[in-house]
Amino acid sequence: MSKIIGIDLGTTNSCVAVLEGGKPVVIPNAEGQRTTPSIVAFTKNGERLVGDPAKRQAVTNVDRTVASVKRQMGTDRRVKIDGRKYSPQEISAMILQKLKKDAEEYLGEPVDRAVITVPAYFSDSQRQATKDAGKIAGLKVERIINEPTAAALAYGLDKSQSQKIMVYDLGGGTFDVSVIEIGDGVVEVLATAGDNHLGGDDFDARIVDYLLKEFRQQEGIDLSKDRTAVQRIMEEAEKAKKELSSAMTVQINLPFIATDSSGPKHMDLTLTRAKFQELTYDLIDRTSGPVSQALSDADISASQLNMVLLVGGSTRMPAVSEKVKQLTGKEPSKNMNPDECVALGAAIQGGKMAGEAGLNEILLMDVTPLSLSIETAGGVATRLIERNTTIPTRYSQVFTTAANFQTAVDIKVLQGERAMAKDNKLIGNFRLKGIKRAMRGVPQIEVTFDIDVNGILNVSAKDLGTGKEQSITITASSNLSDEEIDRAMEEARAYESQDQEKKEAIDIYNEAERSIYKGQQYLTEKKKELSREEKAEIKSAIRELQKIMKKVKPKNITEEDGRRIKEAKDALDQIIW
Amino acid sequence: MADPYEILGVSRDASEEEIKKAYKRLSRKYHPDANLDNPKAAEEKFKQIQQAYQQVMKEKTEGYSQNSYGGGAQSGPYGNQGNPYGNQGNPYGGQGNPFDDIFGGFGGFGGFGGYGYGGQQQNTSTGYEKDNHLRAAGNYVRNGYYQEARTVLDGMEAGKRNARWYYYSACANAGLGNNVTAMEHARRAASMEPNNLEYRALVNQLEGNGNWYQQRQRNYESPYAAGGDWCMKMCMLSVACNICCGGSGFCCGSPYGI
Repeated sequence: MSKIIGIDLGTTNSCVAVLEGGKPVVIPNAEGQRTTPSIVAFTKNGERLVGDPAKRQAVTNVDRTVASVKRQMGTDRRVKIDGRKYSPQEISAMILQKLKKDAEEYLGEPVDRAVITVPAYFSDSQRQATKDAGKIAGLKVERIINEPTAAALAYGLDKSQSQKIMVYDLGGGTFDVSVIEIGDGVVEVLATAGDNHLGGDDFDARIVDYLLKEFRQQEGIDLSKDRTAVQRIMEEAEKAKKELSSAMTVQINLPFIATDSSGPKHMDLTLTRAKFQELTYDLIDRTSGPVSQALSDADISASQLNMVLLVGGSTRMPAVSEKVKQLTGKEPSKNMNPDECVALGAAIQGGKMAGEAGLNEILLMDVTPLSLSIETAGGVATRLIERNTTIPTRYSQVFTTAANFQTAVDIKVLQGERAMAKDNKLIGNFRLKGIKRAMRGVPQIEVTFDIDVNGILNVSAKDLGTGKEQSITITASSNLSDEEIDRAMEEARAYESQDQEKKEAIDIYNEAERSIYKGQQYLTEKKKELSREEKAEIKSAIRELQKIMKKVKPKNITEEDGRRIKEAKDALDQIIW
Repeated sequence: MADPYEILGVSRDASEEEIKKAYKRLSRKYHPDANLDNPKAAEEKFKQIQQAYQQVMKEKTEGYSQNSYGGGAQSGPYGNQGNPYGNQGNPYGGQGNPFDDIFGGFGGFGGFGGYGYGGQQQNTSTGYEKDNHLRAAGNYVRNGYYQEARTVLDGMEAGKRNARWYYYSACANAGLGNNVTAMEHARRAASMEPNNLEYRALVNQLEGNGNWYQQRQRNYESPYAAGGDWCMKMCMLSVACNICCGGSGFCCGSPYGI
């Protein structure tokens, strides 16, 4: 049976792991790193770069580089590059494709199944989008699991003693906190809370803003409109943030960041840890709300926690662990690598689902992070499923019409904790028609919410009087249709072979350029030895080749172009060699 | 099988600790991941266990008052079945004092206003599918939508047909003029729960008057000449209810409007 890999598809970095001999191990990427930047770039000649190579060229190719696409998952935003629009799912799929390929090279066998992690606080449509991204990349997503749960699984694999732990997961773009009970191989989430828009990126942004402001004050130049400069500052900010986790001060040095009439300008600033903490104090403070909510939802006090586990690169910031200590009264554990433990947990779940021996006893029981309701008369959100309900789960409730002789009802599916419908997030909407005319209160409409083991919701409504039924799997308008996914899948598959073809065509183009140069050189060198006819023949062959190449842009070269260039080039080569 | 205690395999007086233990053991046994050879069937069972556990724990913390499943002696599982009708006294309440409950509830109505179901709403949201459907059938019967009532009833599994099911079926069939089936089902209901006065009253009604439907109509015209006819009273209740609640957007005696 083929392996099921575990993928932590992060906002800034991704990590892939697999179970080997009962232990999860991180798979290094083709560049030799244990994590891969979640960055995709398209070079000027149409080549696609993913990971470290994409990150390295970001400064010089800002417009064609996509980072932190995870923040857009589940929205209908599109990234437009060279006239082509990409959905967040497609960009994520490119990252997954790279991870898949790295895993295949490491394992020496094809990989087509994966467990992918998402922030616990991801909404239904964000989960669906992640699943779709996997599908586009040619991976059967065997399970979507929550990142803190995966981390707890990696931690709890060898723990037999029952205990309650808190996972504090501050990643590149999201913050999750989960209270989890581990015992006898069962990892049971008691409560989860978080903030989908809080992560390391926000800390970087604070440094960037600070540097821009300082530079403006010193030099009177506003760099915020200069995308290349901003990109350079962003990279420097991220580096500075990381360094400040161990150093007390860091020197920010960006030569030639701008030019004005007096000549080139350089950025040379000092950032102290104290200043950094002052800039980001409120961000860290925002994590305390979810922490106390998770504890109260789990119905325990901080003192009942056996352990606090830090996950996500951002927890390396000293101020974060300080805050956690202050909130829980516990010294957070530093036993696990915060960048890798999520992927390791996903690999364990993958191994279990592939039926690997010794993992029968392991079991993840997760919860739904947000309450689910429908809108009822008066704009009220009537709950069907409370947050922190263990999944999979199903719940049915009977509703009726609000007005006399109403023949259709709109089922508006809402996610969130607020009492009124308008304050919650509308995640789906459908209409049940053909209800028999009757006084209000007579028709009986059964609404059923069904959440599967991946946390994906299916809603159905049934007119009990007629047996008529309508249902939807919640895919907000932002999500891709089946056709769109199929098309993207085909494109992704085609990309692999097309990429190869394109590369060959570009190689031919470059060779042809060399041949022209060589032909011209040949003409000059052998000026005296060549007959007039021979010269004319060479010149016409060169012209012919130049004519063909003029029509072709290397950026969108096709296999056919390559073939035609090759013909003309071969003709020229024959004469001059 | 709708009894959550039965699903969890614990007795009614089990401690919270025991219930939790049983729940954990069962969730572990039936989680889809623990049954990779047959995850679909396991998932189904797992969902039942989730519902049962939530229901039982809710009862443990909130007490049995409104929501006892067969806890009350009188009318079996429907004693207070999930209480879809909010606070206004459970229409199926113990028939020891059938109408006091209802009218008592009425008194408090004003206070409930638009959506003043308050804590009781919690109770409505824990019903089982079976109860949902029976409740819906009851609502159709009370409103005179007998065909719809039959559609709901006929759609229910044979295994879930209990005395209340036969009772509603008798009402619906009588309403549709299927007197033979009505009689048969009314007797079946009464024989399943011999102590239930409602069921016996219906049998008497059907036996005595031959045409239950006409009787019902007559009663309807002169409401307070109340016979022993329970269905008629329910009818009155729903009329009164609509008046009471007019314009509030919610129909008392009914679930939430959409």
